[in-house]
Formats: sequence, structure tokens, C-alpha cells
Amino acid sequence: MKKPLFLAGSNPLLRFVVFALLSIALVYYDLHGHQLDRLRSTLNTLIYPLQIAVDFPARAASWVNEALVNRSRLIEQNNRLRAENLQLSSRLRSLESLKYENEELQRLLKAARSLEYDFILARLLAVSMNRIQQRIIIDKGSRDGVETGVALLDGLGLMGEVTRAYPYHSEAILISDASEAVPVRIARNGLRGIASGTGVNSTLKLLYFPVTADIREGDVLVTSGLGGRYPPDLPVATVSRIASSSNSPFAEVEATPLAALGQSRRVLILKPGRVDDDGGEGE
Amino acid sequence: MILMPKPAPMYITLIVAAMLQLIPLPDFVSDARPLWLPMTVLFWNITAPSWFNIGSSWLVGIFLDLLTGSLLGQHALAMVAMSYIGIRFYKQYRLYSVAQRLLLAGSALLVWQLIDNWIWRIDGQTPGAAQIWLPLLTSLLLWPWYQGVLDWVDEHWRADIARE
Repeated sequence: MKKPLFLAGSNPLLRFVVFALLSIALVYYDLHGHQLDRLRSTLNTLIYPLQIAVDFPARAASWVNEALVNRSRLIEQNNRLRAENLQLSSRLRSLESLKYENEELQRLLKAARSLEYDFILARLLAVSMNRIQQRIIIDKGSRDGVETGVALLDGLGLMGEVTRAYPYHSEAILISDASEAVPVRIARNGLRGIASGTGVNSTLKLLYFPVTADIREGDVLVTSGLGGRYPPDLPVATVSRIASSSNSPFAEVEATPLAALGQSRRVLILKPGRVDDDGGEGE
Repeated sequence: MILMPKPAPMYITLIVAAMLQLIPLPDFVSDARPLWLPMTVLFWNITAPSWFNIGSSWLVGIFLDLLTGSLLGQHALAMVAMSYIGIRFYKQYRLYSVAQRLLLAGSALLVWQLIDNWIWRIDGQTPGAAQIWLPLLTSLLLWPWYQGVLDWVDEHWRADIARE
């Protein structure tokens, strides 16, 4: 008799108040400051198995999908990939020579160092519950070399940036998040601006392009590297719509991200490895 | 005699709900995604309030915060408020008609949505109207059936204990 009485009778209002206050305090400290960062990091590592469990159906589905692909399709796919690989590697070889040429020229211009990238391949574990926040969880963390602040790509273009790296997984924010802004330039003529997210996967807003700017539909935007958050020259988006309103000095420009933000299940994490030309540190 | 629920099936329903909640989906489906995890928590609040109390809901909320990377405490606060409504009315709930049940579940889930979205706004995000109301609508459409499924799980394992 004692047990159910104690359990059922314990004051729900009291509990409500206590836990609500606790939550509000957590939200407050998480919002203003970094006191909770270590707690969050520890807890996140502890619940990593849960993250994996939650991801299980997606993983199982892709496994079944791969297991059920029939042989002729595999052969076909294999042939196609081989042809593609041949093409790409020949193209890469011509790029190699361009790269050396470029390095030579940069050395002549006394540019201290050029950047070369390594990629870490990661899988999407989860997405934020709805589109309010365009945020994803990926299955590689600081143990695999992921750092906070590194860029995230898929095969087509820039996806976003890692916001927190935990030992076994990390969180990333997508370029389409309304609070995210990427410094970009137009690949065709080098005009600079900022691409800001809209909260919708398929659209970015371009800020600070004057009405008179030389910008056309179909222009490709790449990162400008300004601000140092994203490395330069990563493809970001193509301009999809330009409108000018009479009362604003800036054009209203919309762009479509190149990366398949809503669909990519595999992502590349850019691992910046600096390639110094020998005298780099001595100076 | 009171049959105490065994924890395992409850954990399983919660984990399955978390899977449904977080599995990556295309945008247009994701917008209307039912509130699986809040629905599941609410069900257990109403069905076994002495066992799945506000503290348990809070814990599930914290897990969800960690899993989604939102502000710590955001979903926890929403869960706690929603659960309070559920637990406050759990005795009446079993006597309610279908419409009254929907009204209660709807109010509780609405509280969840509003608090959740309110904290998004504090965090600088701007959720649209559809992102508040669509999930609520699909959740309520599903609620009677989903409750049936969970009821079955609940009764099934309680009966098992009674036989032992």
C-alpha cells in the first residue's frame, strides 16, 4: 500500500515546478555562455550508443538495399564507375600539372603557402527534428580528426560547418540555416557578397549585392575565404532568381545550393592539412 | 492488486519513437512528421503516471536535446509542461469520450509545440506557422491508433507479469 501511495500521490505540481525551473536554468546557461559545454560533451559521448540505435533503421534500410541489388545492375554500375574513374583520373592528371604551375606562380608571387585538403568520409546519423534549425549529426568525431569549425561538403558543393565535435560524432549546421552566412564570390567575375540561409533547403539569399552589380541567373558562387571560416573556392550555389525593388539599393538575389542538402546521406568533412613549401616556418 | 509495468517494453517504445522522430526524411515529409516522441511520453504519463512521472519525461527531453543538438533543456521544458497536463488528468482520461481524449492530447501536444517553438525563437530561429501546426495535425490524426498500439503493448506485458 505504501509504495503506490508514495509514487502516485507525490505532488505532480511540485515535480513540474522543480523540473521546469531546472530546464529553464539549463536553457539560460546554454544560451548565455559556455559553462555547459563540458557537461554537454560528456553526456553526448555517453549517449552515443543511443544515437547509433536511433540510426539503426536507416542503416538497415541501406544495407538491405545494397544486399538486394542484383548482379547485372552491379556489373553495369561497376562498368559505369570504371569509365567515370578513367575520365576523372585523366582529368586529375591535367589538373596536377596545373597545380604545379599554380604553385610555381604562387611561389613567384611570394604567397607563403597553399592549402591542400584531406577528406574524411562520414555518414549522416540524424537531422534536426524539423526545418526550424537546419542541423545534422554525423558519425565521425574528434577521434577521427574532425574539429569544430571545419567545412562539410557532399560531392556537389558546400553543405555547412561542424559546430561541435565530440569524440565519436559531431554536430554540423547547414548553410541553409537561417542563422548561417557564407562569404561568397561570383566565380565569373569575383564580385563578393554573403549567402545567407533561409531555413529552406533549396534556397539561399544573397545579401549586399547592389542593384547595378554584374550578376546573372546561373552564375556559380564559390566561397571567398574571407572571414576565415570557410576555405576559399569551394562551390556553394548557383544564382536562381534576381529581383530588384525600387526602394532598396540592394538586389534581391536567390541562389540554389549545389549540395543536395536534403538528400545527401554521405558527407565529406574537409580536413585542412597545410602543405608548406619547405621554407614555411623558417621565416 | 496493482500490476507494475516492466520497464523493457516502455524503453523499446521510446527508442522506436525516437527513431521515427529523428530519421532523416525529405523536407515535405519532415514538415508533417508527427510528434512521435512527445506522443509516446504523453501516453506513458497517462497510462502509468506513478511509474513514468514528470521526472522521467524530463529525462527523455534531455536525451532529445542531446540527440538533436538543440539548447540543453529546450525539449526537456516542453516535455515537463506537456506531462504535467497528462498526469493532472490521467484519472479522467480513461473515462473520456474519443473527442475529449483528443482535446486533452491536443492541448498537451500544443503546449509542447508552443514551448518548443518559443525557445527556438529565443535561440534566434524563426519557425513558420506550418512547422507548428502541421505536426500537431498529423499527431492528432494518428493519436487514437497510436494509442491503441501502445495500449496493446502495455496490456500484453502487464498480463505477462500477472501470469508469473
